[in-house]
Amino acid sequence: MREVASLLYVPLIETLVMVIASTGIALLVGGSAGIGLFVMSDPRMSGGAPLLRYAKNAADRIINVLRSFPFIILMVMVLPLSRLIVGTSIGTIAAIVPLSIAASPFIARVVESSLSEIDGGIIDAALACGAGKRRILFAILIPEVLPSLVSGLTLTMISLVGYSAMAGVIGGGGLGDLAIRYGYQRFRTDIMIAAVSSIIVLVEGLQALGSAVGRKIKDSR
Amino acid sequence: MFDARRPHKAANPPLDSPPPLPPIKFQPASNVSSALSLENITRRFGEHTVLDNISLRVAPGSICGIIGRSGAGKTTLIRIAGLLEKPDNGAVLYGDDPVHRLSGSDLVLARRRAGFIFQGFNLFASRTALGNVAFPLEAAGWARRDTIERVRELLDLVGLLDKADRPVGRLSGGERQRVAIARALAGNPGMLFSDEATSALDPETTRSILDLLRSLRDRFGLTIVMVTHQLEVVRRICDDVAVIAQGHIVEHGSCGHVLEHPDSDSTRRLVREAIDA
Repeated sequence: MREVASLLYVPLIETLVMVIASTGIALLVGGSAGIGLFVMSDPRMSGGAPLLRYAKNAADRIINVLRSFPFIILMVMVLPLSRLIVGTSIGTIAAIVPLSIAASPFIARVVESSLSEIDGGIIDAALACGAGKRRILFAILIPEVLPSLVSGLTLTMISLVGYSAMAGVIGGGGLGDLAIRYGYQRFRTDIMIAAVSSIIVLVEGLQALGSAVGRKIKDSR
Repeated sequence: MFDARRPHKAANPPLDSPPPLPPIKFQPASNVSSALSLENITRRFGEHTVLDNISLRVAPGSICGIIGRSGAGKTTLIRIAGLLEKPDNGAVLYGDDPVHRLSGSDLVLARRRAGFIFQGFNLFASRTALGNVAFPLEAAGWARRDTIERVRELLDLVGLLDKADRPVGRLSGGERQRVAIARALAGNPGMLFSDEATSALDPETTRSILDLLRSLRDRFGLTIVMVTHQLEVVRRICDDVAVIAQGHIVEHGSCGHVLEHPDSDSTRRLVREAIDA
């Protein structure tokens, strides 16, 4: 039992590091992209320049292509990029690169679809208040859609727990890697069960946390 | 010249509130003949001409009703007046200043010269009543302390000071529209545009909102332009009325004259339907 616990400890930390770091990076990159997509599709926010339609179209295509890649292929494809960015192509830190790339387009879509659901009247009212677009976006629109952003973010993190389990392929470590190496390859059913249970607890915990935060925001309104 | 960004440099010295905040005083428009002028406004959506060469002048300090059926073009007209849409042709003037071609920060500044209230209230659910009213002042760069002081004055003006910290989702329809009115007036605009602001409210709440609007006009000389399909709204508070049908203004004049002696078929039908109802 003690052996199982000591084996779980490091992979659990690795999984958490991969999930949290890649969520943070994806939030920055994908979040900005999502805001950009929304702004491009709303003429009141973009000013309605005629070329924007093509730019939005191109951005849509790129995001769809990125979302189409099976993660395991993406992971291998970006090995050179990982080496370029973090100096190595193996290990937990290196795995953060493909995880972030996988999560960014997902978050972009979450942010874009949340913002698109805002009642047009809210934007009208904010414009009529004599506010600039940046202020409308950050002081009104994003707070308005916070509950749906939180639920989208929860979905993303849970997907990343699953993806991070594949990171063992590039030596990323984590709970999935532990389950494969000890549980599967060495026939250690106890470690397999412990690793999978930990992943289940992690997913349940993330979902519970996400739901609680979302509920708290909604209750305060 | 009024400048919402610099509340401390307003021309009027403080009267009834402690310094440094000047009293609530909506931008006076009495030195111009019209607070709002719409000149030859045309707006098309595809093949459909919603507004066809419409002209309308609104005297400073007056309450002007624009009445017509659904689809007559009322909402488009008031959105153009409120700078939420651009006309295909024609001009919009606030006082003597043409504002219809503005863009960027000039457009943002021009929008501060008028407040806008909507049928669906369009309050920000993520903010309290106070937070909603504070938004135009935040946008105009007011200091936090001055903002809160001014917002409390405004909420007091609309009778909601005790509900300042309530999320707007927990207010009644009438209370929400009062918050929306306070928000629309926060930046000291000279004009208030109202797009069917009482259509979603019951008759008693409608009357109380209309009485509030009239008292704001009487106290502060605010110019109010209101679009409505309810004749009783026009009858209750408007000085002038313009009847709009199929994208044209078919009649315009003092409320008493237009409603008592309607010239056009559209007006006669509206009056008759109101009596039948």
